[in-house]
Amino acid sequence: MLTEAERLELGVTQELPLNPDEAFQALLTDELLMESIGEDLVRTYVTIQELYNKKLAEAGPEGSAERKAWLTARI
Amino acid sequence: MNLKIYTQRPLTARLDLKATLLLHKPLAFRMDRSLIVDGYETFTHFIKTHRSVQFAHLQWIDYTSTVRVRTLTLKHLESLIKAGTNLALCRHYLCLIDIGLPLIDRDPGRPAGQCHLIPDFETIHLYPGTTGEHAVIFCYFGSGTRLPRGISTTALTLSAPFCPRRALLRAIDQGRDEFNLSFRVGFEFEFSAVQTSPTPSPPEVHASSGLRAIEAFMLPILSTVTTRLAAAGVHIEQFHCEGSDDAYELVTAHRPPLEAVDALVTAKETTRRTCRENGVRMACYPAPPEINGLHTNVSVVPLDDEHYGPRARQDVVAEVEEHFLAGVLAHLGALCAFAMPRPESYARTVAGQWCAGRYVSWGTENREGPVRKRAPGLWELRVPDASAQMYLFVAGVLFAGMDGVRRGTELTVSDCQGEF
Repeated sequence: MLTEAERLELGVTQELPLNPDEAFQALLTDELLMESIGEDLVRTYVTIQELYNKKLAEAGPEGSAERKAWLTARI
Repeated sequence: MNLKIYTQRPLTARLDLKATLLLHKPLAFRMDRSLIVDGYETFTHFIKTHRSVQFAHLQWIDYTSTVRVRTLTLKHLESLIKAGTNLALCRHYLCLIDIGLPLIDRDPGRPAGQCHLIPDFETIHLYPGTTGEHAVIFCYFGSGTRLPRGISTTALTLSAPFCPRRALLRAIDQGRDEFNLSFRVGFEFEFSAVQTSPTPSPPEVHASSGLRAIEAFMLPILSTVTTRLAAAGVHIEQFHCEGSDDAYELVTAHRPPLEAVDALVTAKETTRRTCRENGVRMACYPAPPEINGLHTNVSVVPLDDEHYGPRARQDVVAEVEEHFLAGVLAHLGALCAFAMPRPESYARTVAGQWCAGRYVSWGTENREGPVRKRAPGLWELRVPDASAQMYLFVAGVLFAGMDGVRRGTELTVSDCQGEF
């Protein structure tokens, strides 16, 4: 494992998102991707993914057999 | 799949056509955002050389990566083409979850209004593993307008601002028009497979690349998948047992991006169907114990690279590769919205799991970070899993990389050889 000092020395400062919501927020505030892919497309995409994740949450808590079955039937 | 969309022909031919079109005053479509789609000749040639085809499967992939299909009799598709129209369907068809329409007041999700499936005829191929009665065509989701008679009787101008496939094609076009670059993409598709019927054969220990493990029951199945795909023009380079419970991996050949993502869709669905036919349950699950990823190899190559000698090709790649990578890293967090849309996806971004790591970084042959550099101008992007909207992810990667080249973005992250 690299230490924090070694990590910073390499110029590695940014963490990856920790969950879909952080990733969706990053996308919605990314001017380049919003413009290149299309703002309407991206906003609709995020809305649908959020609703999908809500359905997934209704299937069961993360790690439960019910939820895993719901997800793997669809991915 | 031999993919030749009109705009991928030499630029001069395209400009000539544009000039011709502009002379026709009544045309009111926007030239900047529209695309001319043809390929009807490929379609008629395919039908003539595959006399057994009776059905055409028009396929599209929605925002949550569900593959959807309308199966038309060949006769009906031909009559639509003759009438100068396309298959119309409700415009919410990119936004459904299973059968349900979430209530959103946003285009294209509203349940009123029409869209069309615009066949990309160049993608026509036989349905893998069937007897030749079925052909498959990938489609754009949008609307098409006929060109004036005298220019073409079969070409359409396409407007598809919501279509993921169209977004990827726009990125490819930008590479060609603005940067003289093209791209190759290949996938390492991971999944798990468990025997369910009739009687599971005696188990073998699941070992990474283990011979006994693959011989246990998957070798004939994956051989069948590969043969079926080859007949449909999708090339698998290799397969093996992966290093987590019940996991396997298929590697697809590097191809131009749109063809590559279409091929991934076909490979994934063919694997699923062939497993099911053989009493094997196939699944893609990003969290432990399976930890199935979908590593995406992306490379930058000069446009028309067959005209370059190896040295000239190296020079072009050397000029752009750092900026391209810097551009991708600058947008990597946002790109996770396409690559990892499920909470389960983030089980792969914890440290020490040989997946994607915690930080935005890259490293030559480093498998504990989100980007492994494999060769000059070739990177393995390790964040996606099978829940990714891959058309949008690859489109986003290309747009981000090209933005780095455009701005001359400096690569401020050094080559990482450790893990965090």
